[in-house]
Amino acid sequence: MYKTITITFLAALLAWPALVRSDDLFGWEEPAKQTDPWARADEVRGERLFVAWCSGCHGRAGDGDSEAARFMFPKPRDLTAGQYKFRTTASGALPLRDDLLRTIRKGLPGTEMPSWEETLTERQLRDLVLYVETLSDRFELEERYPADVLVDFENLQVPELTDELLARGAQVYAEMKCASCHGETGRGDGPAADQYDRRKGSDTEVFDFTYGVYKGGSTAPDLYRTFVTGLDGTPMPSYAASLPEEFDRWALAAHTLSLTRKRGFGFWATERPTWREPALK
Amino acid sequence: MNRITTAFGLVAAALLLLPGRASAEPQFAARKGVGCQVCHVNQTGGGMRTQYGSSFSQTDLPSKRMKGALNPNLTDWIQLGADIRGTWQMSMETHTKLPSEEAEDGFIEWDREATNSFEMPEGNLYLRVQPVPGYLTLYLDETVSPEGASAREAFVMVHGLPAGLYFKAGRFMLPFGLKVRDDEAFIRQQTGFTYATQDLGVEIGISPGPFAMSLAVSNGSGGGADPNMPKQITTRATLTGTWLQGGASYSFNDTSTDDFRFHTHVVGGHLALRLGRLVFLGEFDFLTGFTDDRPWSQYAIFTEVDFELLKGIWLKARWEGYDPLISLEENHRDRFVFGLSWFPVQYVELRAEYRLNRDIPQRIDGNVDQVVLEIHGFL
Repeated sequence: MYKTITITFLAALLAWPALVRSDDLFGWEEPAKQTDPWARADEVRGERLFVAWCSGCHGRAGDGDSEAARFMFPKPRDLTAGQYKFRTTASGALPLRDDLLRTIRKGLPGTEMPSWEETLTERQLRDLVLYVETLSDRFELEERYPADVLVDFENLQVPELTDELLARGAQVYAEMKCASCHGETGRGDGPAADQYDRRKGSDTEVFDFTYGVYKGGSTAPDLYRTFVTGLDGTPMPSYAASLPEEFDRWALAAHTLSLTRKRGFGFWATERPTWREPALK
Repeated sequence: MNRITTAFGLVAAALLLLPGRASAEPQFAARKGVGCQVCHVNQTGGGMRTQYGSSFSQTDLPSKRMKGALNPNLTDWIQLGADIRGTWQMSMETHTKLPSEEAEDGFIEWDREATNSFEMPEGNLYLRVQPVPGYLTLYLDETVSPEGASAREAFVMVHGLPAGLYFKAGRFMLPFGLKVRDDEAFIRQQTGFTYATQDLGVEIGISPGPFAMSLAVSNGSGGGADPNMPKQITTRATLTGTWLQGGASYSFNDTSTDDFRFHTHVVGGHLALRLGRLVFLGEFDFLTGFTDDRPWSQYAIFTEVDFELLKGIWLKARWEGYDPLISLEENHRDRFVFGLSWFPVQYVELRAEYRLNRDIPQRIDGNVDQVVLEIHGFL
């Protein structure tokens, strides 16, 4: 009996590569022949990847309901709602495919969402994005409008980090009343923070800037994007209208990064620690 | 009294010779602040990994990640997995002596030569079929090494019900204490809840919120047919917090026959505490019972500190204590383990351990120090 079971097991293992296409198994890729990087993406392959690597947290249906989810804070995103925090589009608008791709590729630091760029191939990442879009009706029912794109993320021109920028950043922080939630020192202990206490059942909480690890990325462009687009599904609004000047947006990013308790955690234009200039602190 | 001590010594020596088998890693559960069922298909831990467990071993665990992750899911309904370990184990040369008035030089001495051996302590293949995905699982954990093929676990499980309710029936590992991967740990070896000792029965459990509880009723005969009417009752309750986990376990087993009376109660408590990159694990088990109307009691202690030195590199220091007969003085046993685990890439673990064993001088096998080098492949 046991011998039969063992032989069946070994046969299944040997037959495995024949049952599943090898490029699906190992993510082997042929060199791209088309200019549109999304042309070869396939949501069916994406579904297989989703079941293997994403459903453990997001649930098989993608609704964020999984065995692991109840031990996590913040909870895994309910992908069926089609609402995303980290976008380059206006508040309430659908994210771009590249936004979803960036989140899967880089992960969300400080949460359970890991970076997948080291593990999955570029094509697999795009397969996943296509499948994630099928989980919410929004992507089928709503249009993406060019005017909704508020940030050309890949082409942002990061200004030089100066004392003037930092000084203006502190002023903007006060004018925009950021301290009402995030506190004067950025610890997330402002007077309004009480209503977003996870211990009282809130599913969101005010971010502590002194921690220095931002879910959407810890570079100045990442913060710039968050200020402009806001974080959908949270109390963090978009400041696109109230901060029309580029200089002010970068200034706020500079001030926010300067609140980081540990130097080297806040990055300016690159993903490497560059926050070391003594004059700036 | 001497006969009882000798009997316990023989049983302990036999158990010591059992190969160590492993699967669960409670330090990772503590590190992530999650319950056993999050990473393992078996709700009480060990064996095949869930989708979350696979993702964790792909992303969080290794020092470096290689592109092209192998997908363990054949389909939505069929999942494969494996744990294979190969070890090289060296038992050091050992010399013990005991003062004796009868000996010429005043001591009785024992010697044991050094030995070394390649071994394969674990080779397990897993198959999970979900005819109703998320609700019904047919699970097979097939051991192919070290001793021929045998089903370590084989059960049907209904799960995914409200409040985390599940039912399990078949052959499975009983829910008790920390599922540490070292079967030679006193808390596993002496209580009998090892990866090598499964039982046939049924199990029910719930896990509302951070609380989880399991109750198993089984033959109590180590996987064989039950020779008597009483059943073994085993239960475990755990509370899982972000940085602190705790639990209590209890088991009763009566294997008495017409000629021989034997029953045991085992009570245990365990704790896991995470402080940054440090994880502390602890368990205390108290065993008591009757053997042919003679009462006995024992205890076993387990304490371990795990430290994530760098991503994928874990240092370990452990102390274990065991008193095989509390009423008898000077028979305490200790075990110290110092080790390093390195997960260089996905699905691979390299492990090195030095094990210091301290026992009464008469039991020279219990005083043999060991060096263990291991490669562990898993899926």
